[in-house]
Amino acid sequence: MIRWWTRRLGAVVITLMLTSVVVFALTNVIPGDVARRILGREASQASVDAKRMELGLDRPLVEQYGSWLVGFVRGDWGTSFTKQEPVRDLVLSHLGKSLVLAGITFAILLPVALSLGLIAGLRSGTRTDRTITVLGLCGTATPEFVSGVALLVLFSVRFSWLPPSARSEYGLKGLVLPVTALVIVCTGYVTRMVRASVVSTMERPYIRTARLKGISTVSLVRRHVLRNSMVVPVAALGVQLRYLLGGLIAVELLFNYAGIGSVLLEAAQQKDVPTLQAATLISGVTVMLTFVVSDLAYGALDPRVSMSKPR
Amino acid sequence: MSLESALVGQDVAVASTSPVTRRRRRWTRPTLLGSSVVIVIWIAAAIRWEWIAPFGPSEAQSGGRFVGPGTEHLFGTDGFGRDVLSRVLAGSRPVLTVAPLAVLLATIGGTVLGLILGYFGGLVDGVAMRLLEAIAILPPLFPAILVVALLGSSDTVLILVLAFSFTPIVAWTVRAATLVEREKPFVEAAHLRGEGAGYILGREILPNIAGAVVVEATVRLADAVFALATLAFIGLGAQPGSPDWGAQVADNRVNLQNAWWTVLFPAGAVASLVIAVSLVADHIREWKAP
Amino acid sequence: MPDNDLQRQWASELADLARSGVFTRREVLRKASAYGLSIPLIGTVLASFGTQTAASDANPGASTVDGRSTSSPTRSSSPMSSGAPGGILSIGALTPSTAVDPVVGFDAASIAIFQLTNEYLIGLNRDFTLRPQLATEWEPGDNGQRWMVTLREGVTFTDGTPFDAEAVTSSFARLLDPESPSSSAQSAFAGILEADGVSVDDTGNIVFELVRPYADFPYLISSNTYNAVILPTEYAGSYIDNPVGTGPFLLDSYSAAEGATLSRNESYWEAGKPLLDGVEFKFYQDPQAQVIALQSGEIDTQVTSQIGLLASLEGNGDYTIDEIESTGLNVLTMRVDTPPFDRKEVRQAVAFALDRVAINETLYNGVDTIGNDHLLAPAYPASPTDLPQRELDLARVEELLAGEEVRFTLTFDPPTRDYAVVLQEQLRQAGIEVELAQVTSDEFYAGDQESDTPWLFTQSNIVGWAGRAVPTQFINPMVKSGGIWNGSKYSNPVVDTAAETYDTSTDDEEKQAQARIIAEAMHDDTPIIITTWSTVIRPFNSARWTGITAHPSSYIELNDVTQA
Repeated sequence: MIRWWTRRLGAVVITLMLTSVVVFALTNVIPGDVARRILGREASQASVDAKRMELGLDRPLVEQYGSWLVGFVRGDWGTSFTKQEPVRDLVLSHLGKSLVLAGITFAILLPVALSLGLIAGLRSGTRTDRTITVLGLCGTATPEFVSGVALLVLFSVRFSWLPPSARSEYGLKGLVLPVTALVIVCTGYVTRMVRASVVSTMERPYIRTARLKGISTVSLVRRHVLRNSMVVPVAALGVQLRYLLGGLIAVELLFNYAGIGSVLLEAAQQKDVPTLQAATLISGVTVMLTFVVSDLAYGALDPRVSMSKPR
Repeated sequence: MSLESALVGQDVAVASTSPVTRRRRRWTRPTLLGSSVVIVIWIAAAIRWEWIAPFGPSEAQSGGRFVGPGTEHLFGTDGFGRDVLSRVLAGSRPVLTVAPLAVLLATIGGTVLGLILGYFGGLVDGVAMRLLEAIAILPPLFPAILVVALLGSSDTVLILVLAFSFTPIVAWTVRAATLVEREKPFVEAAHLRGEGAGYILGREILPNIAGAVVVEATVRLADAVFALATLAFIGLGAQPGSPDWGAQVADNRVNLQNAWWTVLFPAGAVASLVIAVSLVADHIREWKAP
Repeated sequence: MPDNDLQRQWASELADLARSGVFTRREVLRKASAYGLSIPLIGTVLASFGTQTAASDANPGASTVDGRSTSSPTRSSSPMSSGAPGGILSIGALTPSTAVDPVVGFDAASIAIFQLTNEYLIGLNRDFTLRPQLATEWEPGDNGQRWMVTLREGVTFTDGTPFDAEAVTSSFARLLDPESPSSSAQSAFAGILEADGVSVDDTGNIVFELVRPYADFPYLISSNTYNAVILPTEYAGSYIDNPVGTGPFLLDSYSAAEGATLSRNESYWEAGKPLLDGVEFKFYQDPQAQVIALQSGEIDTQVTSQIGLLASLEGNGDYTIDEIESTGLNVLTMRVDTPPFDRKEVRQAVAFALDRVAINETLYNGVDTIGNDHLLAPAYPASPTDLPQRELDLARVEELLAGEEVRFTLTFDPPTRDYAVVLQEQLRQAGIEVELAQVTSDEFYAGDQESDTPWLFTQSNIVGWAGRAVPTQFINPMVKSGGIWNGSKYSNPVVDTAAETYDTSTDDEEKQAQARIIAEAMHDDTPIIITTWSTVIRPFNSARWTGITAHPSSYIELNDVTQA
């Protein structure tokens, strides 16, 4: 157990280090003139050069990487090149908003996907099953900005039931539409996984035996199927969170929500390197954490998975 | 379930044993047919929309701006007076040029990588796994956004960036499949015969996992179309003047109230293609997994 | 002081203003004394009150300069305060891409915010006239190489410190520092004013000693140079944490992601102003989201707008779109020192191949003013108005090219993409092949300004410019020999001399003569092509508010805004 944990943690650390290198490399090796970007095209070449020195951009890359990484771990994420504000507050507040959106989405996704997956799995092979599966697939295949736009037309423009954006002034009501669009996209995947788990459980010999013996489906479901298939969405949490954090740029743009995706996009476009690096790395760290947590949860919920197995 | 199978991205759910399979096949035909038709239409449009489209996608029409859908303009006209149907048809070309090529590259690269990693294992595998994991936890589209925001959005850049993003996922699937195949007796037999790794990988293992590779590629194709539309929507995909679907949706958001057709039709086009490809991929997967 | 032609000109202009009823007696008198008019002249101005002329009747939004009406084709109501005071105005802005800092900020949102808390010595009106702000009078000496500025009395900063000469000199010292990061100050004062040229005389007036005579200097210390706000002497650089100014509003809160809130400065020096209780800025990621917010009532107006996005507001009586001619533009530059543009005939051919009216219609819904390939915008009072307007003339193109096949590469960045596409299309019809090279904005402006940066060194490019109040602010850097932003590498001693003379002329007729020389030379040589001059628009919710106007530099001026 301890050994498993040490190995796991070790792997996590190595991965995170590699991530930081990848992030640093990608944001720095690609050309672009940061100093010019900050001062504007009409600034004199002299002041641009001075700015470049001030930002420390003329130091060797390895040195820049080192000081950045040390700073990051210590909580000093630098100052935004363009906004002249501390990066940490900026990024964390946006990350917080993304986590809120992700949390609410997941809270709705869990019961929805569980129910649909259960129904589909228990009625596997029937038209109901097929319909659910196909609909789920359609949902997953519909880009969020597509469903988002359709939802906006219907609920905000045609019938003014909901606000036109998710700015903080609208509170929770503003989150209804974006969460709906996200749930549509994510349900299909999780539903299918639940369904598969249900199907495979139902085909276990001991279940078959129990049914032959006349034990009702309902109690079977309650005692075995449910327990086994609840694990599934938890495992899927890690994968979905990666998307729910950084993959929501389109949704954030569409609904004007200040999540981590917008920060990433803006920083990339403005070559605001400190913000870009911090936002990306903290996203990766968060996702990594959820992987570990979901692995743990999976292990706790599913007695078949042994902690000492290497993979 | 560990990180790896989660990251493979697709449910490990496979069609279960026979009693239900045959029944399912019968139900699936309408969706397969419908999807294939949709895909064929878009491919035809991509190849030669000039023959199908009633007007030029960049021409301002005499009918005027913001004309609703009607007999003269089936999908209406937009703010510049351009025929929306023609623009939607023309928009299939950028997507169907870049996406298949990106996926092809990713499939080739990912398969080679996956075969090597799965077969040889060891330290290289361990390190490579960590590296792939490191890239995989980054926000989706992050490399794409970064590269496109800084290098521009030419077709080449988009193809390379998407290929780079998808290769790890393909590699993961192929690696997992290779691991399974590696333990099988015929591989052992070939090894004993003295065959080299290249032969084993190429002639023994690869044919057996080809099915999984095809499924993976098709799913990635859907992802690629999805990603391209999203990139275009956030302003990073479209070339000047190109009637990219995602860009059309983004540019016309402001007209949702007064000219919903300028937004919903291109949005529908994106959805239709991605859904169609996904459904076809789903069929292939079921077909391949007995 | 003795009357001169300039002052008589001012007097007649003021008389028009008086007649039109746009300004009150008090305001006109204030202007008159700022212009330094003599008593008799002021008398003539005051006599004009109560009389009417047909021209100024017709359009209450008009103002006249040099007797020529520069009325905007406005669909808005008069900018006079007519409604109830109070209320909080919501303004949409694109998320600032630069620091919100009076000295460094250069994007429209940052400027809009700090212009509400801080002020300039002189304010720039929508019609390019000047009005006193923290300075009450200004007059030239030494033929325009020295300027004396009288400061307003009784003004205090919001932290209680008095507004005095020291605040002014320290503000300018900051801007004129060679390492100053203020791009507007650098470009405005280069070669004209240096740090040691600012001093105080014994009566407390500020004295500016210029490097060379410059008749339009007051414009340079006005809001036209948007970083030239007056900050307290003790200002140490963190505006957001400690926003101190003399302006009509106080900055209460700021969030880089959400927006800013401001409230009325109760101790503002202009009694009774502003009428609003407060202002709220809301930030948006992109122009589309902003317009959608306007449609749904989330915001009442915007800092910057694009006409193409406002189609959905047409016909909606709750919204008004105010327009004003500006001197902003997109310039199509051609390098005159490399083929194929080293021959004037080729450049002219390109100019004649363009259908400017169609460009205006397609890109700007027809609101812009047509350009004539020279930098003397119609909005400038000194601009000649009778040069033959260039139009689409394919026959002439053929004649000029005389069978030569012309093809070139056009480099540009995303904001001017639509223009590039239209240009390519039109030129193709005239048989000129254009290859489009879109690069990211980063790339476009990167590199060395003196040797290889794309926006100044490519064969042909499109560069967008925000308006300037003085034509030589464009002419000197862009088409004078060796100008710092001379992308076409044009060099014509006639233009050089005329520009220099213009800068030193205090006489209107002289200015007009020099402007004509420059315009004619540029029109003939065609180193750059200007198809339209921007009309700045500002939509606002007129069911709720009055007094919101568009400004050529997209400034927000709220002193007269009231509830409808």
